[in-house]
Amino acid sequence: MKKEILISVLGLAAGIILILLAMFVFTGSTTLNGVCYGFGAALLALSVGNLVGTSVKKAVETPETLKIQEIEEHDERNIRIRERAGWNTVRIFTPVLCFLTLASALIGVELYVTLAACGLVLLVAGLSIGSQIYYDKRL
Amino acid sequence: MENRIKELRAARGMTQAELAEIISVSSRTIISLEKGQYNPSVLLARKLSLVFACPIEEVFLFGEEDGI
Repeated sequence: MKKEILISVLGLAAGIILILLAMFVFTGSTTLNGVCYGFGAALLALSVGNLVGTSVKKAVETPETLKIQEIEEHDERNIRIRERAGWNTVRIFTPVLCFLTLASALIGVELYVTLAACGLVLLVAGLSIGSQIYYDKRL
Repeated sequence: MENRIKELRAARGMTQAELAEIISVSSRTIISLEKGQYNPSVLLARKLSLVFACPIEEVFLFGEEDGI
């Protein structure tokens, strides 16, 4: 719980800093300005959401709800569902991402968009291979 | 894989929620097990056999369709 709050507070601070940088340092309609505003707002929203969620959870927490939460988290059927859902998501998302990357290259969008999409494809492939090697050794 | 969880549970007058609490799983897992939709791990099968005080083979009915 404390770790969660710490991460949220750090995210909140980073979000505020990025928005302040966009407002006072990287002014004008530059790419950097947009990136700072975008990432800052996303971090701010996620962190505030997490903090509110954590405080609400803490307010309604009882030993009974904690026990149920513990059971739900470690329930082997739930674990298997999560694994299958994750695997299915990746299985569907990977060809979609490849198609979007190819489409972005063919329709001639900005080069950095195509490169970013390529980076994502490589990241997904790397993570997939890395995970397979990791679990191959562990299981 | 077929099983006798529902029958054994009913014979002991247990509800699904009670059985779920004893073996620390969710009630939905018990429902899925009873419907034969979910095959448990060895550990969960062992827990169930301990609760019902009978061997695993009496709780879970292994057949040719399971490759056994």
